[in-house]
Amino acid sequence: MPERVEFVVDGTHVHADLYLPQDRKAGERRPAIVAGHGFSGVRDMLAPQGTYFSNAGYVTLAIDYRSFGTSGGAVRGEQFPERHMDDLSAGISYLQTRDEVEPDRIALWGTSFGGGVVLGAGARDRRARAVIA
Amino acid sequence: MRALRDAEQWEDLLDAIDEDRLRRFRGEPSRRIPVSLPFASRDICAMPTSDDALQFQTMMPEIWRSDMSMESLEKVLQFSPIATIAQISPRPLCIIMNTGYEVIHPIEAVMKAYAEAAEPKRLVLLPYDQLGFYADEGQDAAMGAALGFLEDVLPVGSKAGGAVPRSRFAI
Repeated sequence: MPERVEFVVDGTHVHADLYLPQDRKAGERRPAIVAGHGFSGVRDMLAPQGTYFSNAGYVTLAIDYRSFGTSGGAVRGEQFPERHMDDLSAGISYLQTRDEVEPDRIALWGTSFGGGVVLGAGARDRRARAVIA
Repeated sequence: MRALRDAEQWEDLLDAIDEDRLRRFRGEPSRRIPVSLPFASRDICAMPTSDDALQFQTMMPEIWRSDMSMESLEKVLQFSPIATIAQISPRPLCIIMNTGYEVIHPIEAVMKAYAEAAEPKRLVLLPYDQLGFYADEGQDAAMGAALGFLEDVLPVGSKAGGAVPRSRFAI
């Protein structure tokens, strides 16, 4: 089961699921992935991918963009790509605070519309060391 | 967005976006619209669907049931990741695309974006339809391609991929 985590972006809570590799040894850091969902999606839809990547050894953070899923936002369903890109960058920042993560080896992965969003986020946040759309 | 609509639906959408801008200027909330409707309904929605409507209903019920703000479509139309995709370099990029039936993500747009991207980059083409990456064999293939790329550029148990020479960053 993933660990439910949250962080704040511009005053609004972003909820996410953190998938940790089961074979990780105490104190060991791993490369990581921030995963972005598709058009009008929610992070729950990324459970298969979170499990898959973590089983392969990668810490994986699947986020609900603000105004989607359980993340905050008074107006729901705001598909604002600029905001989504900020959420993904905040996801990188969050992972960099985690003891399980190699802070300079974080990738972005996104599916469908989320693929377009990770292309935009990866272009403007050089901490994304690889981008998969 | 354009590829999902005929000419009349496209003009209707642009008119609705104009009306929503005025509505928000007046201090009213953005209009709520369904995420998806059958193509034949002609009502404004984010993603008109035809024969794939049933797939949406069965594979992604959350999306079928949800609505969103009209302002979202305005923002999505303004969004152009192809304009900045070259700035991902020198960090590695992988695009995984299906080559089967596809109207939601036109392959022409994806290939154009890939052409604009700079090295290092990888393109993986897989023979599945537009929702094929979300179940069974297609999902396994897409995830396998993503993992194969990660194992090449950010392998577990290595420091590879972590450091990029400062002078090589485009931004």
